[in-house]
Amino acid sequence: MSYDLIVIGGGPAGYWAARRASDENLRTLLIEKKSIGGTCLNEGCIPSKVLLNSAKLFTSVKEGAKFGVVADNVKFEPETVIERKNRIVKKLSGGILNQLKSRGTEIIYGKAKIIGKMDGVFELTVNDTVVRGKNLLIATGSKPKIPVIDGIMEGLENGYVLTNSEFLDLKSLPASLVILGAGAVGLETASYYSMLGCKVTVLEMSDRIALNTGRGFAENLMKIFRKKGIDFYFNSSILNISHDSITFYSNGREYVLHPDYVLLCTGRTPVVDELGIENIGLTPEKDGIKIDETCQTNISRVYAAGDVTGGSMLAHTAFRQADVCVNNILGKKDVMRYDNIPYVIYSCPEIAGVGETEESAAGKGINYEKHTLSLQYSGRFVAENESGFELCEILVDKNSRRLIGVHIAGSYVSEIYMVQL
Amino acid sequence: MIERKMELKDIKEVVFPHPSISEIIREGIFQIDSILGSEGG
Repeated sequence: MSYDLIVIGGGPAGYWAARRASDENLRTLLIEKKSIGGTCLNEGCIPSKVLLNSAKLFTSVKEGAKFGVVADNVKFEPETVIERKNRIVKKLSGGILNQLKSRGTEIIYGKAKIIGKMDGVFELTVNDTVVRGKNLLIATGSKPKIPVIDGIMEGLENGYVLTNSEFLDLKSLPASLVILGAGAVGLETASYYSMLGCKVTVLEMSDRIALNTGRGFAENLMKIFRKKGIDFYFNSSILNISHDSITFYSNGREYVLHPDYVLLCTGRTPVVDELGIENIGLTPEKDGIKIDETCQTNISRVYAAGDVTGGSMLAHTAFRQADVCVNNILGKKDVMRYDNIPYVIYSCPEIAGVGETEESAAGKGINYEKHTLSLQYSGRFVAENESGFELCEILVDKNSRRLIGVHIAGSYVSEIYMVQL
Repeated sequence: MIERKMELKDIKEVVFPHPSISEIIREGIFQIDSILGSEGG
C-alpha cells in the first residue's frame, strides 16, 4: 500500500500531523504501537491533570471553612480518582480516533520498522506488511530516563521505584515518598501527594527547582513549596536504592531515607531504537533526531516532530512542529520557532511563563529590568485565596522598553497564554 | 489577536499551552479555517 505520508507514532505530534494531512487530502497512514494519544494522553499531561484536580478539590473542601464552606469527614478515594482518570483517557483517546477516522486517516497498530528507500519511496514494515510512503514523519515520542543508580533496576522490578507509567495508577496513598527530580513532573507529583497528606521529599541534582524559570523566581517558588511541607535536597547524588531505603549525598552530607516509594521524575529520552532509521541514512543520536527549522531531518522528505526530536519535549511544541511538517510537505513554507514557547507546571500553585528569564536575558546581553509583584494586586486572587504569597515576575528590555518575559505562580496561571510575546 | 487584527493563518502559528482551556481557541481556529478553505483565511 502506498501513501503520501506515513506517520510513525500516535502521540500529539503524530495524531495532529495525521489529522492535518488528511484534512489536506493527503493519503495518510498512522502507525501506533500501543495507544493513540501517546505519553501525553495515556500517562502524562492528561492523567496527571485529572489526579491534580481531585487533590486540589480535596484540599479546597478540607480548607473550606474559612470560605464559609464546611464539610465533615472529607475523604479522598484514590480508586475512584484512578477510575475517573482511566475513563477520561479512554474518552479523549476515542475522540482522537474518531477525528482521524472521519477524515479517512488509516491507522495500523503495530511496531513500524523502516527498511529502506526504493525509487524515491520509503518502505516500512508493520506487522509483516510492507507499506510505502512518499513522505515520512517520525513521531515516536520518548520514554522515562532511568538514571544509573546502584539498585535502581531491582527497584523498578520489585515496584519500590516507580516511573510515571506506574505512579499514576497507585490505588493506595503512600505515607511517604522520595521524588527524584524537581522539574515540571517532579513538582506536579510532589504537589499531588503533598496535598493528600503524604510526606514528600524531593532530591534534585542541580542547586534549584524549576530550571526553566529564573533563579530568583525559583528561589521564591521553593519557599512556597517548603511552606506546604515539601522537603528539598539540592546538589544531590544518589548512592544506592535498596528494597526499602534510598541513600544519597546532598551538599557533602550523607542521608538515608525510608520512603514507601521512590518516584522517578528524572526526565525523558527520545525513542529511536529498533526503528530502522539507519536504513535510510539517518543517524540515531542520544538526544533525539536532529531536524532543521522546517522539521525535516537531513534526509529529504523525512520529518520528525515531538519528543523524539529532544529539546523542549512539550506537547504544544509537538503540535506546532507537526503543523510545520505538514505545511512543508504541502509546499507551504513554514518554520518552527522555539524562542517564545510557553511552559506550565501544574503544581499547587500553578507556575507558567514565557519569554526570557533573568539568566537568558543576561546571557544575550539584554539590558533588562526585573519587576516582581505579589498577586495581592489581583482583586480576583485576593477574593479567592486566604493566604497569598504567590508572585509575578516581569522582565522588560530597558533599551526597547519591550516586555521580554513573564513568569507567574498562582491560581489559573496555566491559562494566561495571552502574555505570549 | 483581535486588537492586532491577526489573520487565521497567523493565529494558527500561536502555541497554546497544553493542556489548557485556551487550546479551544486553537481548535476553533483550525476548524473554521478548514470550513472556509485555505483561500478564506
